[in-house]
This record gives sequence, structure tokens and C-alpha cells, in this order.
Amino acid sequence: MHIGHIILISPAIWMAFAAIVVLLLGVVAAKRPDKGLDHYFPTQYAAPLFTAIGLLLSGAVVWWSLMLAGVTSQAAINGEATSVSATGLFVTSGGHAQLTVDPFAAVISFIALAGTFIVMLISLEHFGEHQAHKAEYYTLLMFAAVAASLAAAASDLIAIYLLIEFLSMVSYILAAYAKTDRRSAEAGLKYFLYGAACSAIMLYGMSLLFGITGGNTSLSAIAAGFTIGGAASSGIGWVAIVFTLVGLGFKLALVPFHFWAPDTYEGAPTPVTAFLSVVSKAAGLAVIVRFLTVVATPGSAGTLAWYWILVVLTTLSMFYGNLVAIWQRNIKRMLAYSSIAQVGYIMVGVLTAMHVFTRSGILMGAPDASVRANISDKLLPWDIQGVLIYLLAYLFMNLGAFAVVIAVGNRLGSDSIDNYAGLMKRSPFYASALAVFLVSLAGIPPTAGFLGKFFIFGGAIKIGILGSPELVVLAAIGVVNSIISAYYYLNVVRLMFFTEGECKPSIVGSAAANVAITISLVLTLGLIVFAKPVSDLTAKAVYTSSPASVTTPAER
Amino acid sequence: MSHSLAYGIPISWFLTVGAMLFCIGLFGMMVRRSAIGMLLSIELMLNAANINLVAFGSYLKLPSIAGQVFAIFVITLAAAEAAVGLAIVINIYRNEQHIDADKISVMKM
Repeated sequence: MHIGHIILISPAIWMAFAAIVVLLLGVVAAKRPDKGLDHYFPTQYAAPLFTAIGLLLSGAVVWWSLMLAGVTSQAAINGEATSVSATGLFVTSGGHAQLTVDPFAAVISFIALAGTFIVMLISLEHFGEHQAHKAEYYTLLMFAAVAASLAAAASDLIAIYLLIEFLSMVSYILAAYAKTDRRSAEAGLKYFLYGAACSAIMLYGMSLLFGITGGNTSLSAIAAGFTIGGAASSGIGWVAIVFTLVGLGFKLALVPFHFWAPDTYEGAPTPVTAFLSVVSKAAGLAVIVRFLTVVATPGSAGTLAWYWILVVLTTLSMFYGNLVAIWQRNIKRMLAYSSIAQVGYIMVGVLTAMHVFTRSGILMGAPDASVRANISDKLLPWDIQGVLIYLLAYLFMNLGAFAVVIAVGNRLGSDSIDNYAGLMKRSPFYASALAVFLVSLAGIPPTAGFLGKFFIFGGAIKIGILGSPELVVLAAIGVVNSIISAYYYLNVVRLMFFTEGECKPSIVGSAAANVAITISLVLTLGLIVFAKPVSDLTAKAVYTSSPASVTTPAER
Repeated sequence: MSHSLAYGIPISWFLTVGAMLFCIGLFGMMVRRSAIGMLLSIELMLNAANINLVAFGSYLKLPSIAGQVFAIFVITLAAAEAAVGLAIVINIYRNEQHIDADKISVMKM
């Protein structure tokens, strides 16, 4: 281990430290509620401040990990046998990396912290000054950010299980946070029961995976063990992978593991809903990308039954999410169903990524840089970075939409879509911001959502025509679904702009909500202006990442 | 020295017990209506995985004790999960005066 490796997880260390400070602040403040520490340095402002610092650190880590990755691929070109160990972290006694903070993980971790920061801003608006147990609430949010940002780097079964459970358990408490509200209590219970059952199934799958690959917990060793003795195509290997995917599918709310999502999203406090729909999904996606690129043995994706299961689930998620969202009268519930469909779009990108690895016969970050350079030439610009670009876009457009829903819902006391009639007259800023976010979620140019869909569907078609027609079909289904989704997204826009509502006084939200909405708005519209640098950065992040093949000299 | 000879019991026996325990847990999860009963079923499923992990860990003649370590982590997490779960169930009871998971539906589909 090296001091540089500590720097790579510094955002998570900082957030864990800051979370404890926030908890202590709450204890001190509770003794003298009116004046004292809480008066000068209120907990609810300390938490976003600390998170902003964590975000800066995380940005530095993205830059630092890209630099380290550049160094190692240069070393590989020069024929030095460093492998890709520079981005591997925390060598255990078994000699393998528990966490792999490669640029891919660093970007996902940045997305998780940015999401948490915006969620904190909208929490300020949602709960107001006199929130009960506010220190505990912000502490839990910060711990959830720690879990999400580390889960993105987990490259070992134990680390994956622990971090997914860490994130889940904090999320259960957050969902039931408004404990006197019957709906929040119900949201927490449903989330907990589905979540605990799915994670138990995932654990059983992992225990089988551990056994059939010869007792390995490290993903890279599992990748090696999987190709030996036909474990990948055996019945028990099949069960192991499908069971493991159940737990990950639950985190993503992929059909048919979505049953918790609508009730939990509607019942949980809205900032928590926003958190679950963005940050927790980003972490789940990072883990599933890492896991799939490992267990997909080269050249075999199309021949594996569970690959086809994923293709079917992706299709079902897109159709189910969109078709049910049309009938919703509650905007939180509508966004819940739409997020099931959004995950379907991202899964198209994940399956494309899987194909890139299996087709090219290499895993991400294979030490042979000349092979990698060759492949990147062929596949750029439409490629697996679509997942990262879409996640960035989804982060801002979905959180922005939730910010407006909270600001408006707080003033109106209801989340019914009918209440959005004539919003333009009452609050031009909120109405136009929500319109931009919804247009972006529908994937209409010139918004970030369009950029994400362009990369994901473009990549799927480009890889698909090389011999995997199902990817082309998935892209086509995705486009059809975007059109279906435009119906219900634009219906809200129509209500806001072209119908007469009640002429109650105009709606003015708090400064925190306005800041959150402005940040999201600028980035939803701005991402496409910076399409080139964003594409370059994410491409570099993906090509220099090493989810599967981190080996350390010790292991050899 | 072969572990399977030393113990006199083939590993498949352990795996069968694990699989049965897992199926009982899954079945309980589906038919139980009480939230506490469902919590108990989840514990069974977690322990099924633990049996697998420890059995693989000791029969595969590994250089490390990864399987046993994994099982200890799972036991710890199961305790934390039970604490969080019971807190959520108690909160449900305070709000609803029952813990029948089927009857809890304030929100309409």
C-alpha cells in the first residue's frame, strides 16, 4: 500500500469523518436548542458544506486516477511489468485488491457525492429549519454517500456484499425517516422486506460463486476460475450468477425486482426518494458493470442463458416503466415508474459494454495497451462511456425534477399532477425549469438526456451491427419507449403552460431549492455544450479502468 | 490429506443442508404474513449462505480463510439488519397497531 492509495479513497474517508462530526454537532446542539453552537453553525448547513468539500476531493481523485491510469498504460506500452496495480488499492492478506479506484469508479463516486450534495440542498427546502432529528438525517445521508462511493470501487465479493448492504441499510432507515407518517413507515417496511430478501438471495448466489470458482472472493480471480472446468456454463454457475443478479437488480429496481419502488418512492420523504432514484442506482450500476464484465467470459456473452435473461429484463423494464407511468396521477409515483424505464435505457449501455469486452476478447483495462489502443480507435466515439454520460445526465435532470416537485409540493401540500395546471402563471422559473428537466428525461435535444441516449443507443447499434442483432433491437425498443415516455412527460409540460389553474398567489421556494434547481438546470442544458470534453473524459475513464483485471505483483 | 476423508462427510451433505435451509427461508418469505415471520425467514436464508461459505472454505483446502471471514461478516451484518428491521417493524406497529405485511397499504396502486 502506498500513500497515493489513501488519497484515492480520501473522499469516502472525509465523508465518514464529517458524518461523525455532524452527528456530534447534533448532540451538542440538542442541549441548547435556541442558542449556542447550533445557532452559529447549524447542522443542516454544516452537512452540505462538508459534502461540498468531499465533492472537491472527489473531483481531484477523478483527475488523479486518470493521471495514474495514464502512467500505468504508458508503462505497459514501454513493456514494464507493472500491470495495472497503480490503481489497485488496499491489498489484503490474500494479495488481491478489495477496492479498485480506477477512473470509472472515481467518476461514479463523483456522481454519488454530487447527487448527495444536491439532495442535501433540497432537504433544506423540504424539511425547513425545525426538522426533527436533523443531525441523524444528514449523518445517514453522508454515510450513504460513503457507501455509494466505495461500492463503485468494490472489486471483491466481500467488499461488494458489505457495501451494498451498508448502502441498503442506511436507505431503509432514511425511507422510514418520517416515522409518524404512515406512508413513510410503510415505505420503509416494504423497502426493507424486499431489500433484505433480495440481498439474502444475492448472498446465497455469491456463496455458490465462491465455491465453484475454487474459493476466490476477488473478482479477477473469479474471472479466471470461471473459465476453468466449464463453471460458466454449468447449472450451478448459472444459478450462482442469476441469484447474484437478483440483489443487484433490486438496487436498480429492474423489472421484476421493482415491486418496492413505487410505494417506497411515493411514501418516503421526497429528498430520500431523489437519493434512492439517483445515487443508490448509480452505485448499483457501477457494481453490475464490474460484475458483468468479470463473469462474461470472452466470446461467450451471446451463448449464455443469463445474458438473454438480462436482455428480456431490460426490455420489460423499459416497457413496464413507461406504460404504467402514463396512468399515474401523483408526480412522485410517475417519476418512480419513469426511473424504472430510465434504468432500462442504462442497462442497454451496460449490455453493450459487456459485448465490447466479450467480442474483443479483452476485459476493460487489459495490460496490453496496444490492444486497447487498437480497440479504442475502432469503437470511439460511440461506446461504453454511454453509461457514464447517461448517469451524469440522469443525475442532474432527475434531481432537478425532484427539486421542483419538492419546492412546488411544499407550497401546495400535494404531489398531484393536476396541481401543476397553470404553474407557468404562478411561478415561471419553476415551470420552465421543470419543463427542461422533463424534456431532458424524454431525451429531446438539446438537453443532457438526448446526449446520454445518443451515446447509449448509438453505441448499441454500432456494436450490434457487428453481429449481435439483439442490441440493435434493444436500441430500437429504447427509441420507441422514448416516444412513449414523451407522452406523459410532455403532458405535465402541457398542463403547466397551456391550461388555466387556480390563481392562488405565486410560488416562491427557498434559496437552497433555487440553488439546487439552478445547478441542475445549468448542467442539464450545459452538458451538451461540453459534449466533446465530457465524451473525451468518460472515454478515457472507461478505457483506462480495470474492473476485472487488477492484479498486484504479490498475487503473481 | 483430504479434508473430506478427515471429516468422513462429503461436502455435498453440507451444501444440501444449505440448499434446504435456503428453500425453507424462501418459502417462509412467501407465505408468512407477519413482518417478524418474514424477518425470521430472511435470517434462515442468510444462514444457508453461511453454511455454504464455511463448507467451501474448509473443504477447498484454501491458502486463506476467506470463506470463514465472509461468514463472520455476514453474521455481523445479519445482526445489524435485524436491529434495523425490528426498529422499522416497531414503527409500523406504532402507526398501524398490527404488523401484517399484507394489510399495510396506505398508498393506492
